[in-house]
Amino acid sequence: MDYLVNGLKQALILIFSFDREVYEIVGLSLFCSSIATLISSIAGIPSGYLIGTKSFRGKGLLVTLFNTLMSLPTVVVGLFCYSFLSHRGPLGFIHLLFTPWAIIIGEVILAYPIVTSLSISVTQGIDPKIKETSLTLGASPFQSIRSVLFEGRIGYLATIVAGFGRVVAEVGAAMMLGGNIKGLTRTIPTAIALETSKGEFAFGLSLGIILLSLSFAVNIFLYKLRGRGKK
Amino acid sequence: MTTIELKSITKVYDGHTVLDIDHYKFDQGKIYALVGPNGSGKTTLFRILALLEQPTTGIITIDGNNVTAFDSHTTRKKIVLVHQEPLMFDTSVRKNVAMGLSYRGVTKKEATERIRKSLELVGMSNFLKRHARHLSGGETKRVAIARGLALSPEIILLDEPTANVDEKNIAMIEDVITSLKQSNNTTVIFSTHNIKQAYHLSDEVLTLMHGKPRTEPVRNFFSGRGEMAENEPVFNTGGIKIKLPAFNDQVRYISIDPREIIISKKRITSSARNQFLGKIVELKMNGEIIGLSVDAGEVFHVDVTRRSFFEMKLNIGKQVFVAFKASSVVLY
Repeated sequence: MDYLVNGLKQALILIFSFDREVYEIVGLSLFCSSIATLISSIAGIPSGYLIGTKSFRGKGLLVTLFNTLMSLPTVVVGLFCYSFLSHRGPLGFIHLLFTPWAIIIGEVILAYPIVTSLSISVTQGIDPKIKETSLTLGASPFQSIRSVLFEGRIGYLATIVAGFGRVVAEVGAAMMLGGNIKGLTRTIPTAIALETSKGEFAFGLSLGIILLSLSFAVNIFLYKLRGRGKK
Repeated sequence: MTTIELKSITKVYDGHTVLDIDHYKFDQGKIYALVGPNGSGKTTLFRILALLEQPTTGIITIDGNNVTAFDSHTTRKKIVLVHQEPLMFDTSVRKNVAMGLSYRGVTKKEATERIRKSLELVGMSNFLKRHARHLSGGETKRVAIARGLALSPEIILLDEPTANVDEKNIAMIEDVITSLKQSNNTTVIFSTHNIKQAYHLSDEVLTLMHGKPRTEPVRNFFSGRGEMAENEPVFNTGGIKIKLPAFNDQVRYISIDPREIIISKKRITSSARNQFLGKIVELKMNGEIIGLSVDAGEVFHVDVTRRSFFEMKLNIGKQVFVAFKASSVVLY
């Protein structure tokens, strides 16, 4: 029990003393996750909207594919990207392996199906009369799409948060594509895995607390927005 | 002058023709009432007029220019459709009314003024900051009308604006329709099940039956409600119970074509499920056809030939039976 309590004490000291290494890792994690979520959302929400609103052959299959990709194992994504980005791989010449951008690529592949799949559900749940009503009020096609997106704003936001949640906590792809290089590609989850295996329990715990706090903050933010949306 | 003309318009869904209008013209500034039973094509006509749907055949012209549902939204900006069950955007009443104005790039100052005026017209000025999804059915309809009026459209289409609305709100919506004629040159086309309201408010009534316009006015029009009486589906007008082919608790109005009614001096045994004893109260000579008004708890208008009239020795005050099939009753 002392072991746990001491670990927690030291973790809190590391957090509140603004330990440089801890915050470097947090910064990199946030950078990679945010960029990956942003790219996934920019691509995923329009994809979800299009799939959700259009009728075409093979739609059911495509939706099933995206649903399946939601549970893509992170190490498989890591392995897949590694094979492309390694020096012997077809994209080896761009020298991205073991850089934060390699992590971002892997995370985009993980988050995009989640954002897309959830956006399809959000779009399909929106009353088609929203689009029609805006059209009868003289909206251009773009303005009518905007009104649909506005209607589903809380749902779409939740898809972004789900995408962020998926990438901020993943280890496999970040470990394989980033290489867990101190000061360069060490993210919160990879650092926790490494530090715990080294016996640096307090360091790992401090990062764990920060990771949980981040998730908590994001969810509080979403909850607040939901509340505002209902008013 | 904004005139909409429909030429040889048909709309076919799954091989079934739901609308078939050879020619009809809506003139600017006039109020038109669209009446007809459920499924007569009223909403389809509205959707075609609002350029939301393309007719299967035929053309629509606005001021002589062909328009289609594939035209750019600038054409659609001339026309506003207020749905039977309008949908409010998930925001305040003010922002709902402002929505169409923002699509048109109206300045903030002008928009504020237009929002104020349109909400005032429908008696909803105090609801400006209320969430639009927290309004009652009647209030929602009034805001939806204000949302349309704020755009000063050339044509406003109101799909059953007074359906499922309480008496107070009906009166207010009727006042708005009438005031539109006085205040500007907007063409108003509204649909209703209430024939009296249609004739009262409009300059012209367009009756649709099975998707086709009917020239003669609807007669034997009764209001009441569908119910079960002695295990039989009926329409209770308050005066009499008219037998229906099937139970329908949604129906509020019915009509019976005078040509479908048989007059007899004695009760007859036939497939006509409805038979009422009444007294002839009025006669109208119209060439070979004589129009009888028979009071049988409700006043029925029946057309008989001159020959039948004299052979049966009919006259005012005579007692007769009016008989018609349950399937001849048109439900609204």
